[in-house]
Amino acid sequence: MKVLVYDQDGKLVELNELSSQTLMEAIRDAGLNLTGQCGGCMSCGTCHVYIDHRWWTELEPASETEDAMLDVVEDRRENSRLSCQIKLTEELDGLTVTLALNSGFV
Amino acid sequence: MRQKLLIVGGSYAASEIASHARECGYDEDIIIVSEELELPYQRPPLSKAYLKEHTQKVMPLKSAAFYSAKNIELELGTKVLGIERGANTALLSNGTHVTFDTLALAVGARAQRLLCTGADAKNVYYLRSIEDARLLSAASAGAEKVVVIGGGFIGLEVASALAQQLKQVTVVETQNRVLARVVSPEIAEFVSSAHVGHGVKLLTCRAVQSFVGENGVVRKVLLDGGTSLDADIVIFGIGSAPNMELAQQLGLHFENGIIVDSRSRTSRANVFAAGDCTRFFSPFNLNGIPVESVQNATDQARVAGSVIAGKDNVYETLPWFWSDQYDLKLQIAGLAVGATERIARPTVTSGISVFHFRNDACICVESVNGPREHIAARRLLARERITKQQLQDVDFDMPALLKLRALPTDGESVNRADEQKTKVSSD
Ligand SMILES: Cc1cc2nc3c(=O)[nH]c(=O)nc-3n(C[C@H](O)[C@H](O)[C@H](O)COP(=O)(O)OP(=O)(O)OC[C@H]3O[C@@H](n4cnc5c(N)ncnc54)[C@H](O)[C@@H]3O)c2cc1C
Ligand code: FES
Repeated sequence: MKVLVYDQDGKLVELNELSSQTLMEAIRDAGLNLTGQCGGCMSCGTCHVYIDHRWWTELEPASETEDAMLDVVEDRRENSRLSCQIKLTEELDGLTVTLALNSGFV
Repeated sequence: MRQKLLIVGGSYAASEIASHARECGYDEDIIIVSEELELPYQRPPLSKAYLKEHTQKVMPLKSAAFYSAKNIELELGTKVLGIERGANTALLSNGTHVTFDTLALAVGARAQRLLCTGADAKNVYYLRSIEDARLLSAASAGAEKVVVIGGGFIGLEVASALAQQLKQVTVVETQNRVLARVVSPEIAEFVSSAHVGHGVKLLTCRAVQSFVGENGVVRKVLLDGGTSLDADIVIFGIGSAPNMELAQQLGLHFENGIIVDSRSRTSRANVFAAGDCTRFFSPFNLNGIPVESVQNATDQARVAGSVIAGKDNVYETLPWFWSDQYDLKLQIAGLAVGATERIARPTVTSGISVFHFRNDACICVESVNGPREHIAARRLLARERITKQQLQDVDFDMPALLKLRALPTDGESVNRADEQKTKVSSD
């Protein structure tokens, strides 16, 4: 499966042959600038991405905790998600996301 | 001739020094030498999901493909036995030598051991590495009565994981409450109730006197005052101690950790250190207390990586920490050391937040089940002085204060906030 990621500079990066379980891990493994500091246990809020609208409805909705954290991350938009909460499954082949500005170390 | 950066250690700090040095344009050789057999992996799950689910799965911080793509050499399962001062040469446990130009110590800490009669028995466990976790996980599967010594984060997380598997868990703590060194009494009380609610026995103000058993297996734990606890397994969670052997050989300045400056430099030129093995002062850590967390290991290592690559950078990041027990999410923004006053408030999600002040400035917010409060606090405390009055004005609603301040785009560090400000004004 593959995932398409627009980085903070708007550059499109294609991630192929993914072995990672979550979107956060896949993005991090590709060496893109995504912090994901808590390793995916929903404690840090540093794995913020925007989901391409075509994919939004394909995803399991955010949990209450995820929603609470997104509420206070910088620049939340309607299509904001924490990428560590998105499990990569075959159905998401072609998933397209954009890294939020504050999701990476500066 | 090419230069070489030798990184000793194989966890958060090691991995981050290497990858950030590369990100900052360092293109000399990099080698990471780690005693552990696994690629650098996530430690927090070892006392949480790992024990609960018996998954036996390590979660690497970065994939093998990442290191090879970045041309970072990994020498796993190999210990650095010694470093020859002056010659810039390290002796490895596989008998080879590595000569380096720059050295980074990311050797972390080890679990503190207790020396008392019977403490070396087979069914006594410590928890620091995946290897420890595998042993403990296997042993706990068949155990019924568990005695946890130490009511700190790791002890309580283990207690939580095992109590949820319906083991009979007793926690023995020498202080008069759990988490005494690390959180306020209000938070400790909240966490304690959850443990008691799950049937865990918390014995405070009690110390272990000895272990009684046979054939190298502990059967009973004797406490001062005469109490005797039956035990199938015993787990120690009594803190950690930084690994100081190499620092000692190198003659580095250390005191309960290698002393580093805000650029991760030790007292010797070309020797850097980051993570659990260090101690440092910063605007967020005026007392220079040891900070052992993923956040610290990662962020401090990034500074080391960039300075090694020749890019100036200082480590002045707000510390933050988390712990998961049962359905409690404990999150801490800032350090409460040196606080003169604290105020506790319930969170909207049936949790609790405790605000710590030093001379009127909020320096730390601890919350249980207040993820919104935590993220808001981190964003605010990282960049500006928040006064008690400002918090009172919004009835201690951190997210509301955050929205009120209508801050420029966020960052986790003061530097970043400043950078953002200059960006905004130069646009
Ligand atoms: C069970 C557990 C749960 C935790 N939970 C949390 C949590 O929820 N949140 C949080 O923020 N923090 C947590 N922590 C703390 C966090 O894991 C540490 O702060 C972090 O791992 C520190 O990273 P480090 O790279 O500095 O050192 P370490 O992780 O200690 O790694 C040091 C590495 O160096 C290697 N090494 C040491 N000496 C040598 C040598 N001479 N030669 C070769 N290799 C050597 C070691 O084998 C090890 O791999 C937890 C820790 C543990 C043990
Ligand atoms: S990685 Fe921490 S919340 Fe997603």
